[in-house]
Amino acid sequence: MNRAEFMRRLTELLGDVPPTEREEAIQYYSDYFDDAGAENESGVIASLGTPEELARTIKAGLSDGGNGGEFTESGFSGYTQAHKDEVMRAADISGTQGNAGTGAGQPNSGGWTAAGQTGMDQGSQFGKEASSSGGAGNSGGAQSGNAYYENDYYRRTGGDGVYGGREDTRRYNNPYGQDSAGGASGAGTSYQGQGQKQGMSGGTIAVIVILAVLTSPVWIGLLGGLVGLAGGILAAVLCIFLAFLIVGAALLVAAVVLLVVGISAMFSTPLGGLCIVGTALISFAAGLVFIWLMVLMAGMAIPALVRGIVSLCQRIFHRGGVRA
Amino acid sequence: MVFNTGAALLDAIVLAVVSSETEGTYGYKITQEVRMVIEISESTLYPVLRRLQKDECLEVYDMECAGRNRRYYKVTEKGRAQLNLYISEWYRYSAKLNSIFEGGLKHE
Repeated sequence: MNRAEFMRRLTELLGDVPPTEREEAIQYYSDYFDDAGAENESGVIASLGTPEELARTIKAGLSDGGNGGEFTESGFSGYTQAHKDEVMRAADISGTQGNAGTGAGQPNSGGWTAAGQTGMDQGSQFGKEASSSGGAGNSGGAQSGNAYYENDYYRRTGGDGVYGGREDTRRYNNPYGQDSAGGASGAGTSYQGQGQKQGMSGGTIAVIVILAVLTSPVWIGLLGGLVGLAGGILAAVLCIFLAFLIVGAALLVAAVVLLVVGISAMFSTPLGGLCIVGTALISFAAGLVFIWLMVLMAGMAIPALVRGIVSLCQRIFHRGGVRA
Repeated sequence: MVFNTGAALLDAIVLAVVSSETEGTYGYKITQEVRMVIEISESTLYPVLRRLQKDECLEVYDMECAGRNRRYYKVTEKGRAQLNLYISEWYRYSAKLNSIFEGGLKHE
């Protein structure tokens, strides 16, 4: 592959990026060839890797840094989908490379070009695979120290695709008003602003954790007490219900017994028997009243109790939230 | 090289290399100079330059050279401020590392 073929292929591969970006990259690399001189042409091609790899690097750089305002609420629009597809494909390819290519390495500049490249692509989506396939690539590379270093750099920048990409969005797109989290960073001191913001939130979290641990005896005790209280109230109410139920049931049983006794007594002493039967009926009515009261209380008290416990819990958690 | 170069450090190196030429410098030369200090592939620098350009840390202009236009990169005011920030951060960071390394030696 000579320079003309290389550049033609690169232009083709950059067909899906915005025209200004494509021209920019083509201009850069044709300058690069010019400045390297015709005598170094093959050396440059060898060290740039294949046009496919180069195109991937260029596109990754674009999605990493934004390209003039194609960000939307849901992320980067436009060719992002295509880029993602490419990343997925690259991941597949690297999977097979990683498995098969332990001893292969890339012919020109060691295994790291391919390994680093795929490591970068994967880094954004398949973190674990990236390191494993990167490892395989390294063992294949001729200069393994170099390979490790390059690959690691790539992986880091690739990894930034997720985190850094988001930060970049924040940095570049304040004008677009999507920055809900922190518009604090002025354009001039974006790095500083970010650093401070991260430091502060880290410090705040640490303080909260320390505070929570230090006050744990207090709030654990308090929480335990409240849980105990709620349990106690619940048990007391249940006992009252149970008492009513038992009294009612006992009265009903007594009524039945008295009824039987009274009816049998009526044969010998009609008056006494009548009295006993009357008592039985009263007892029966009283038993019914107790059971009815219990049902009534249960119908009113249980929902109220549940509501009370729920609101108590809410208040506890709310207070916890405020403290945090 | 046992230590890796993060994105911020690479930005700093590129800004420093570009700012060393008051008239600006071009991609191939930047790449060669950066590669004298750290081991990076030749394809790594284009995305970095492009990003710095979008960040308004670098500006580009074309200049006639040997019968063709060559694209030059020059550090902007913002880029210079950013570079100064990086440099002061680096001194702070490396001083800390040095103190811990030297302290470690003393204890031995």
